[in-house]
Amino acid sequence: MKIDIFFFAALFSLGFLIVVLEFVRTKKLKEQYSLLWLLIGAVMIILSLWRNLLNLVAHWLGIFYAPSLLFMLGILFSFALILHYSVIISKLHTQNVRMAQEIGILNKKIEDLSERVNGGETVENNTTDTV
Amino acid sequence: MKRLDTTVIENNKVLVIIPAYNEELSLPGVIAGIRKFAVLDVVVINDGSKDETSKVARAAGAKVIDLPFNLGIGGAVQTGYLFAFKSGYDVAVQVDADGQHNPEDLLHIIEPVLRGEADMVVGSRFVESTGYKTPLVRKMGMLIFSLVVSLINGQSLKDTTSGYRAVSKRVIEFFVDNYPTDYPEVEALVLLKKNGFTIKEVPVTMAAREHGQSSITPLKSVYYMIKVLLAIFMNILRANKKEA
Repeated sequence: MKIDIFFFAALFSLGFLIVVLEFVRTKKLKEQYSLLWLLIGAVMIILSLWRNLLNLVAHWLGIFYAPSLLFMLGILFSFALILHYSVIISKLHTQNVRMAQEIGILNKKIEDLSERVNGGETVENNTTDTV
Repeated sequence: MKRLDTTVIENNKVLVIIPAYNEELSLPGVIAGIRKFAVLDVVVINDGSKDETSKVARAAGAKVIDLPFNLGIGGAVQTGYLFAFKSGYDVAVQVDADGQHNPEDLLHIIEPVLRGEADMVVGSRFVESTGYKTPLVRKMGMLIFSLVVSLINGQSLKDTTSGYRAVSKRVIEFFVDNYPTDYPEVEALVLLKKNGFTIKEVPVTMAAREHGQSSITPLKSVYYMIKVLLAIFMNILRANKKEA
């Protein structure tokens, strides 16, 4: 195998895949969020090992300058990923709101209870640490 | 000054929900005003205020729920409904913390819900001329909302942005899982109608704000319009009883 840019690209892609898998193994990355990254890693490896693939696909699609196909794929992938994150953030936001609401109500109940237990002694300052 | 006819609400648990964000100046007056007219449970949802909102509300004798951080009006009001649901209230009334809503109108809003005439009663500034004056731009926006909502709901609704409203137990339960996040008033009307609840408008008198500023600036109002209209149309496209 020649030591050229394709070689380094393959090496980089392999390293990338390993890092992603390692993140999943050590539970820094959840399985469901790793799938997209594994897919992009696999595509990168294939493109760097099968040297003529990019040219072939570009030719089929009528793209004159093959590397521009690479840029386009990269941008499309980024869009898809960002959209995916927006969906996740929305879900987290909803859960976050409900959690804050429950915490507020629970604090109120705890306050009422400790007031009853302490025989009418009001428990102030319970609120200040929440702000 | 006459007190509310408490016999009407004797056998029913009514909760007044006041969402408040930095309203330490107006809140005591609002709570005292409500207390003067009726013996009702009042819960203040302190939406992460940076001032003494929580303290003054407690001093005025209200129940206070302190949210750990600011959720915005929708999330705050929904907290009130969640609390009402968990505590088993029959009717919940929303009142603004800024003193715009006249406590003398409380009974007019609560009564139709207690009698089962409607699932939600909205206190409206426009049903009859009640001496409420609004800036032109806001009037335009309110008119557009009114037209759109009336058209979709197939029922004339004049004051869709009013936050002075009472709801039945069934609606309380519905709002626990379905309440819009920001600028929720208009959207809630469409949401309720779509899910088979009935809505009634009654005239109320409103005062101008005593303290603080309206949360709606000109730039925000553009976002407000677009966001609410988008949300309304999404509600039409959505299947029934889905999460909002």
